[in-house]
Amino acid sequence: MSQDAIVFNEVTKTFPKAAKPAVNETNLRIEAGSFVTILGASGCGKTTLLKMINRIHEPSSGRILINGQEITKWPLNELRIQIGYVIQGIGLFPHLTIEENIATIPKVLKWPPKRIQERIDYLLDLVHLPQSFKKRYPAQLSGGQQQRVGLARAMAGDPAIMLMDEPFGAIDAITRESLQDEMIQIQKKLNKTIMFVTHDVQEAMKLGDRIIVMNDGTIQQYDTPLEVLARPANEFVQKLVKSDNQFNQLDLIKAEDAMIPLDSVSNESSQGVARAVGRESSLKSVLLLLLQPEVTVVWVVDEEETPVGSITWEQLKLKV
Amino acid sequence: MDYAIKHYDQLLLLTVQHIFLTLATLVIALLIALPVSLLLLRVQAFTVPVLAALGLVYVVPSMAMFAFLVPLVGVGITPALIALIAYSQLFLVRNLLAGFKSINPSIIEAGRGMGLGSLRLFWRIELPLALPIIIGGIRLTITTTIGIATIASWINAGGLGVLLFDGLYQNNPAKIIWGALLVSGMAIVSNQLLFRLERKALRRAKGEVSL
Repeated sequence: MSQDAIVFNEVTKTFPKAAKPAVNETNLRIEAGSFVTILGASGCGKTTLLKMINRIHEPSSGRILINGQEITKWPLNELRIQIGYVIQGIGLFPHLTIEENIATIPKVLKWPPKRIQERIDYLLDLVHLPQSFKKRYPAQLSGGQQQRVGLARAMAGDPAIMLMDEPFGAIDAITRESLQDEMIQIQKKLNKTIMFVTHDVQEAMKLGDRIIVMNDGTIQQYDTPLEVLARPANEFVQKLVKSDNQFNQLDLIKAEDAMIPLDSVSNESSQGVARAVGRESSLKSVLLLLLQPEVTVVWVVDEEETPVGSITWEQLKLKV
Repeated sequence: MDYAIKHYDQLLLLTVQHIFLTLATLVIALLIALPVSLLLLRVQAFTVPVLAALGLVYVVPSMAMFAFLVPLVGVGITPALIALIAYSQLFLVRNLLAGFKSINPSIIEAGRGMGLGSLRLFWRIELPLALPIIIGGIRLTITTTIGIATIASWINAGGLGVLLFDGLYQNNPAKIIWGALLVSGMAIVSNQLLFRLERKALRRAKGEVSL
């Protein structure tokens, strides 16, 4: 049984002088260890939703709980230290070296210097930055590298929850993709609960185990990427996620979400040639394999190359 | 030169008085300007009227200011300090505000969001980043204070102005020359020192040197 890491209970936020609430009577349960993306246009309330969790914004009414405890129970900074926070503007401290930036919260927590050093070494490896960057200053790093430091700094105190507000929004497309891939790896490895705000449909689909689609201060749909694509809850969601290019849509679906699991495969087709893809591969790559001559089935294999399911031409057609 | 050798004790005394008046002004003025600025950063609406008022104070000629203060608090160091502190507020408050406002808001948001207390955030992050512009304000304050403090000897506040006024009244060129030399030297030296400090603080705030 997994526990709810974050719970919203009838939460409303109305900013002073605003005509309508930024977030309206929202109920939400975020499972521990899940990667949830919050998708919506600017002004839809997605950032407000996120920033109420670490009390950058205070709800006008309703309650927010972390691990079953109301967030107002903690002294403000004790709450925030338990929550990693990564923002689009990065906000590294320019007068401090990379290692001093990362050490900020461990120093507040009064960790012994040796433990802080080990943590810095570990985190630099985790975010794929060379150890030689320790003594550099933020201005000497590229935007993508700076955000890697931002990520390392946010994880320094080993928080169970990470809040990320369009962290890759200002980073070039190529670097963004590798950062996204690494985020997926990091979450798999460390099993953090991540809430990730984005306005980029592709990014939300790629990163999220589940997606919160927001509009006008209310949650339109909270579901897996596949469900959001296959069964949009309303016209708004459909319009938002609908790609006019079906080929691109295939890119958003992971092979493991579309496969027939192995235990239910009754009759393995023995004819024709088989190919294999990893669980995380997109249906686009499955399609490309199926289009090859003689290929009739694509096996989906796990990390140990053991088949866990299969996708045939018929199965693929069912999913799109 | 003879004059300096003969009266070195008096020159030293007046110089020390001048330095004391300037430093006392700076310390007290900073103690006033800092809370005022921090308040203005929170209540933005007051910023424009307060800066306008301080600008008005600054343009009052120093002779007029002294003449106005003497009937109220008498002569001596008190009216001099009051006037010098009042003049200092414009540069100090203006540069303190500019310094804190120059910080990229993302830096503050990240710091607050990660759970830094406001004191720690102020001393470790905000102050070092605002420091170059603040030192710039201190530099202007010190050079103007050294200048106006010279005139303050007219109301018995002491300092190197005594030498200049005496020299004028007694038609004594040695006094005038030594007074002028010392007072301008003091202004030039402090300006240069603070200018260097300002550049060093700027390099540090940008992450170009470590201290």
